[in-house]
Amino acid sequence: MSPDDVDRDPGSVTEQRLQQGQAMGETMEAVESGVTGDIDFRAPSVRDNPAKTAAGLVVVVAGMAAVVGLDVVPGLPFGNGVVAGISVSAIVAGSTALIRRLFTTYETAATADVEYRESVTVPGANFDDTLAGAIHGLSRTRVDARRDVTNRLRNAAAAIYAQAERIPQSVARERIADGTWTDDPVAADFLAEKSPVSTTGDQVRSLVGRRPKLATGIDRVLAELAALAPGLDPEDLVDATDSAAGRPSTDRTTDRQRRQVDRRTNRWTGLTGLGLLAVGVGIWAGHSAVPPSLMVAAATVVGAAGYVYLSSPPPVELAVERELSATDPAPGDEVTVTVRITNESDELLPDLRLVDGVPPAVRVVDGSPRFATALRAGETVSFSYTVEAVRGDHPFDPVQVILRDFSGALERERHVPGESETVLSAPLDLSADEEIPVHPQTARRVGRVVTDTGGSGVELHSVREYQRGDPLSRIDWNRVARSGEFATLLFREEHAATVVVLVDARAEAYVAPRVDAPSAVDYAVAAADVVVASLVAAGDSVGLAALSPERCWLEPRGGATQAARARSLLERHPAFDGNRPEGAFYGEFAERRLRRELPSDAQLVLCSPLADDDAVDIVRQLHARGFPVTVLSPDVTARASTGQRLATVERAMRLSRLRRAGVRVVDWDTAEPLETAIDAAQRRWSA
Amino acid sequence: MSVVNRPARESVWIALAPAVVAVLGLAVNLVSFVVAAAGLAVVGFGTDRASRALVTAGSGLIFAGVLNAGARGAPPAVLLLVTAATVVTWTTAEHVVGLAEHLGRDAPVQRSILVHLGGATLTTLVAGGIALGVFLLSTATLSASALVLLLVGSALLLYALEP
Repeated sequence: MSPDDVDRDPGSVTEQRLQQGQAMGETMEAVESGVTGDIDFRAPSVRDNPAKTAAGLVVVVAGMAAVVGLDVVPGLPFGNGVVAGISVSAIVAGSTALIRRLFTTYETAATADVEYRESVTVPGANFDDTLAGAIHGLSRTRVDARRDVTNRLRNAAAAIYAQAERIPQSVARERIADGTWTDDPVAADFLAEKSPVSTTGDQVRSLVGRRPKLATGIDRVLAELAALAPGLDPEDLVDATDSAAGRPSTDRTTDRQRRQVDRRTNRWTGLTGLGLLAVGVGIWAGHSAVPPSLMVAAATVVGAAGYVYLSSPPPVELAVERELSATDPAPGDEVTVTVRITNESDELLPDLRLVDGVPPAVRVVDGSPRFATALRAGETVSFSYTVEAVRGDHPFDPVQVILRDFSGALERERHVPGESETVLSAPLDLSADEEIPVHPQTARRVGRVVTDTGGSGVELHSVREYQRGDPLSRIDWNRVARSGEFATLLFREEHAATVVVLVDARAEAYVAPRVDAPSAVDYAVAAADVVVASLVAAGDSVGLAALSPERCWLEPRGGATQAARARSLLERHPAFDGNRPEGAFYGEFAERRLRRELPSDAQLVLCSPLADDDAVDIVRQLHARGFPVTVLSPDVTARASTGQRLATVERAMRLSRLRRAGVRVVDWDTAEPLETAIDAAQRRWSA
Repeated sequence: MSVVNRPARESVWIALAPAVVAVLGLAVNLVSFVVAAAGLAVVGFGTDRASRALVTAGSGLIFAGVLNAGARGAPPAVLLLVTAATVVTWTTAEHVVGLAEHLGRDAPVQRSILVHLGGATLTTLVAGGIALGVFLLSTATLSASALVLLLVGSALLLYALEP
């Protein structure tokens, strides 16, 4: 231990720590503000290459002197050879500059797809991505992707085939391997891998605009699988193939990074090459006697290069104001957003590009949240676009601003928050008047479920011998008059049910038929609201819970206030947020906790898109343990691409698996009102 | 509602206007005219498809036409006009492509394009005009050494100014 350490004043150590902490805090601040580029960038300047500039100036001055008669270098042998040499070197230098351009990356900002709703995926998008990789991907990854696609399809086919034929999976796999599972030879061979598809051939096919063999093979398999799925019309899937081809239904959003960057765009790299070429060709063509007129062309190009040097980075002093046309819209209403931008600096902004920070869960339905203009000092411009209001509170993000100088050589990217925070908030408001059918499992309270227990009610159940204490009103007086015997009429008792409405709000449930369409969770929340309200109105006691990493549980109760409580939860609770939840969800754990909380006589209504097998497992577990489940499933599958069609078939199989387990399923085509779907399902149940 | 990262039709027309001027100016030489017309088509297609590579290649073709016309002794005033028009077409088409990449097809961008076009036209014409003035004044008295010195000097300056 050195004497320094011993003598050190403890106070100074503390101070040091404090300083370290402060430094770390500053670093963290820099990270949080997202400043990632070189903010103190310099404009390109003549001083970048002092030696070359000086040499050029000296030679030009000498030339000027020669023009006015002062021949400073009279002895120079300007013969044909020298002139040709100069010309060739100018051409070579010019070509080099142009070639260098080929290896220069153009730097510019990336803008986010704010028009789309974020955190919504199309069912089957994953499969489509792999398929695209197998057809268009790099040659190294293509073979792997192809094997991956085929394996996934084979697994799906085995599961579907086994379920449809009620045979064990191993048998289904064997039949698929030897190709005896279907009559279609193409589909059978495809999964049996009897006709290997060449990856190169497919790439050529996709280049000339024909459907790759891999895709046609998968489609044939899908058509066969669709024929196995109950309630699906295979014709439906096949017809969708052509009409929807090439529709960008699986476009993804880019990251919304808040980068604050200054950069050189490298836009003009190679420009001087053109000037040098003009000089070289000019000298070559005109060295005899005629002064080459191409000098004018070269000078024009120099002028354009000067344009790059004359510009300076634009100042970022902007004021942003946002205005909404409606302060209190209902979900689904169209709201016009007007954005006003003021240039608060003293300089002209020659090139200003804006992308408004549309909230992630909101989508743009008309107009564009993007705008480009030039803006004089103090000038204000405005632009507007229309969004569709969605449930919940949605604060607007800062406006992404890209400023460039006149020539476009310098670029600044910033995120400018509005003067005051703008929030688009739309309370959920649904009028509920539908009757939701429930399982005949009831609590011992008077309600609307007609039971098989005799007692007081409306519908006749049975007649039995009079017992002391039976109410006078239920004695069959006709029989007394006829035979003198006393008998009591029993009616079917009408009891109330205890229902817990369960909303599937797991990350897997944030699916939509198109990235810009409402998600399954939106439909599920709307449906849950209707279900709760109508059950409460019918006298049932109703609770609410969510399948989500965020815990949400509302004890079943009756009465009008319960509907209000449930509605406010559906509106405000983070479990039903418009954005995909980030935490992990453990299905088994959640299911066990739910069973502990559920009253023993409860039944469940689950609103879920059934986009994955976990949802089915949870439902079957609950149903098997004595909690009858009705599944209300909004159909958010699409049919535009191969993966989407596969997802459609898989969902149909899930529905059939649930129905086999005795679960009531309402398959809700979201284009139609909920009542229609429930009516259709009820006919099916009573049939 | 989706973002299509291709320019609107009107933007493409604005970017092509100077190229049309260049092609018409290059009518002084048949070969140049044909090459530049092909370049115009490539620039138009490239702008519509938002391809920087095609825009640059097409502008390069027009410039090749300019070089050919210059080497065959086209009048300097014409060369000034067509060179300026070529540079303006290239920068405007690139600007349009950049706007399409950032903002898509539906955003209102015309003012930005027109300001860019105007700025580029003004600068190139002013620089070319000065050169034209010097050229016209000096043709009579220019000695071979003065000419070579001027050309080499401007070549060096160009090299130093490479942005």
